[in-house]
Amino acid sequence: MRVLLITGFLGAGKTTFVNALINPLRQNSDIAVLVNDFGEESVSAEYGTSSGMPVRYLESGCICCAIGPSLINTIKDLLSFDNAISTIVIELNGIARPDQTKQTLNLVSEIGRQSTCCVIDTSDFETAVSDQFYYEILTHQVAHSDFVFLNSVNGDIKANAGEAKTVRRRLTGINPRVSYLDPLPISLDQLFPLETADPSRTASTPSVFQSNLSKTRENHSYEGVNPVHLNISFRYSGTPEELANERFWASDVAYQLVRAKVIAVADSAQPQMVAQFAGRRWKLSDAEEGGKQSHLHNLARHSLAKESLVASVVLRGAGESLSSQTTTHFLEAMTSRVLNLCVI
Amino acid sequence: MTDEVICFEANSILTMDSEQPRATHIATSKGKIVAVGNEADCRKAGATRFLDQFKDGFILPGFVEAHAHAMEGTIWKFVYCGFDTRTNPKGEKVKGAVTLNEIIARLADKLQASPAGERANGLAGWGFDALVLGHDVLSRKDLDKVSSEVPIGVIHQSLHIVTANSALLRRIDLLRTNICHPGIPIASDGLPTGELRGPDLLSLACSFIGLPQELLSCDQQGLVNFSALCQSKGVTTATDLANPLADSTVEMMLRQAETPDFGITLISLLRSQGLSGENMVKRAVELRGKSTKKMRFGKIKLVVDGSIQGFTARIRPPGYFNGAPNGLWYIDKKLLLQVLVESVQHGVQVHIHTNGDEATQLVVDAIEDVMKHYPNCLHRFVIQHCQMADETLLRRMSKLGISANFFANHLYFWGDQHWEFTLGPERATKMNPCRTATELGIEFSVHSDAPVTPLDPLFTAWCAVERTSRSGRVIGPQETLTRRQALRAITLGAAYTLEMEGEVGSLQVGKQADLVILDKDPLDHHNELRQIQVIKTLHASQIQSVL
Repeated sequence: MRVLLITGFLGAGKTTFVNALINPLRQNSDIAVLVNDFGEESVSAEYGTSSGMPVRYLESGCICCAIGPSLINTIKDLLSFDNAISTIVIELNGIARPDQTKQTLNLVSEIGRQSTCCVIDTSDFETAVSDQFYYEILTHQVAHSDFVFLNSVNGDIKANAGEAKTVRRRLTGINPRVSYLDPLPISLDQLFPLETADPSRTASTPSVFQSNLSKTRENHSYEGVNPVHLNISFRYSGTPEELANERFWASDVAYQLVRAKVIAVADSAQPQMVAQFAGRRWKLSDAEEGGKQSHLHNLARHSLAKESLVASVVLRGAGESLSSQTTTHFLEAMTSRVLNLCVI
Repeated sequence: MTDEVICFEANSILTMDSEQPRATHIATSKGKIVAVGNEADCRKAGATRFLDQFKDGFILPGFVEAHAHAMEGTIWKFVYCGFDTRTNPKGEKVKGAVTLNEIIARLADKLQASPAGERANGLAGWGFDALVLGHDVLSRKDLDKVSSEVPIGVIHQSLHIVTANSALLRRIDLLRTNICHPGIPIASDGLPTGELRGPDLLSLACSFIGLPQELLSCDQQGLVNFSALCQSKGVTTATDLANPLADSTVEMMLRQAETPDFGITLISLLRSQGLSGENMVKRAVELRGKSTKKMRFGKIKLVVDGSIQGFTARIRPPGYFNGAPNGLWYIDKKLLLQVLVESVQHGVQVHIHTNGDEATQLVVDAIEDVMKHYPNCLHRFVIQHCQMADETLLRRMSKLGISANFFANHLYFWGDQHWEFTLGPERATKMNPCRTATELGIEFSVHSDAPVTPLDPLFTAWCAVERTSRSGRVIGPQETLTRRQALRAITLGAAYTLEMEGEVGSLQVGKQADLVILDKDPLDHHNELRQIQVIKTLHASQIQSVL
């Protein structure tokens, strides 16, 4: 079974997009829609009114407020209702973080492929990104999306090609790997492209990372917090310079970074460049500077994967559990261009 | 209801009416106060029946708990695993489970006592305080000692985490390796430790331990329990601050409120997700029309962020003291504005939950925005918890006429954690700034958020006066209240936040005859507020029960 997550702000046109996507498929009995939107109840109610397509309204919340069933329960319920379902389309609410939903979906063994599409209203874009509340949410949504669908709620998208171009440029700064969808009509299959040789799209933080965490953690205090030390190896789709310029160093996750040292491994398996980070500052230098051969250099030299980067990362954290969460959060922010992340 | 004018005599009556703070006699008729003063005053008002059974006691207006949840009444069905001694709905003190072995023994006893046929439905505990005992104290393996076959889950005090045993994990398909989820910590053996964090995992687990979520929105027995608990703590006006309020729940509540044993006025707020601003306000107006004397509807609850101790509150730079990432937004800003704009047009009161200062700022900004467009509206917005509002925010709140309901109990229960981990000493001392709010003329209350912390207004008032943490640390002596101020917060101040200050909250002629009789004078500094006992609670509907 595959899952398509639709993310985007309240009023961005998510429901219209989903309707357009599923309308031609209304007679298919193997598609279900989950709606988790706060706002436009009347619009969302359009789903499935004229067909047998199962629609569930998902109201996530917490136990102390006694709101609604959980995402997993709802999916299991859908499957028990009709085990022929092969695709679930989930319309997330405007402030949902798709990364968190994906992690929860990963727990459902019946779910195979996941794809995320962010719907963005270009006519409202500048207002949205100049607002800190929306900018932070947008960053999360775009960073964790595979596709972006540009929409113009207050006008014709084709007439505003210049506007769309500006938006694309800004979004590329957040997630350079995202693909832009053409105007409608769009088929559902387009959103689940065949697997390429590049497995990074589905790669979330590997579980090896969690179990190794305790081993790599040191117990001394740094600036009053217990730092987490991690040695990681990863392939990166850009150059060390690009890595240093990545958005996440300037985002809120950078606050968690105490320091990091990244070494690039070239074809010759010789360390080439070292990027050093401290908080939001960074510096690039030659690997052999000062002739110091650290443990990290040795790791880099023996790294099996060519063209990979090896990094030593020190993150803020407190207590094992929180560290794990903090680190996951940090590494997640990197994964848009980081491939094959592995704790060594 | 009898027409007879009944007069109560007391050692002293603390009226909370600033024009006549003390009295010795109070006369009531048909559930209303007809005289407050001395015996002669009451006689003039037609008192014919003089009762002296409380003549050694101290009478106050019945307390108003302006932020609690009726599920406090329901949750006692499950095994209490909390650290502190707590009063159950029968008024019995239930001792805290201060060691792991005690928790295990309690669960085992309950399992032993339950019929074999029901065991498959699972076993639930609640109230485990990981912040006091430590997260590593309770694990899947510990709970396996109770049973490896019956699904068992212990819900933490925060109500956002559950620790599961192996059987429960197996039931929800999580007893396996290769799990990568921020809400599922992994033990050294590669399997989950048992802790499941976050609403989604929690509700998944709870359905297998006999704790479906619908139950917690409130059931009939829970409502009976809640009313009894309120009475044992002197509360005559209580809130059920966030309820989806399905039609069936509303009917059940209305039915239950008509029973003579239901000794509180209960205000249940609509918390709805999935409704637009317009429809939410429409539903609130519809519910308002169903209100009765003892059961009130028609107010809305919104939740903007999470909790500070759970690191889900939205806080401004420099963020959490231990470097944890910033928390989560639980509402879209646009929806917040929609609800506020609709609410002022229909006179619907909105209570807005914020814990972190970034969230409070967002709400104050939004209300300011609404006020620009509706400058003459008579809104009564209340910010609930409002734990981190600084002086600048409080000044703006004062100017905009926003009230607050501070979470004073936090200072005792989690003050040390705030000091050491979440906020650091400086911001911890400024939490729940009751005195600054008083000085700025903000109407406010203090609350328990039961079942998050125990429902007991005198204890809450003690927290606001002493600001002492569990370890004995005084957190922000500059923000302490006087006793009179704290008592006002749990009576008239709380009534104001519920738009009921004309009905309850002080003992004045014409108001509802809701009384609480205490064994000691709460204004006498020799009596520790939290040690004072409630002798009797009399809701206006039950006055004649003393005859």
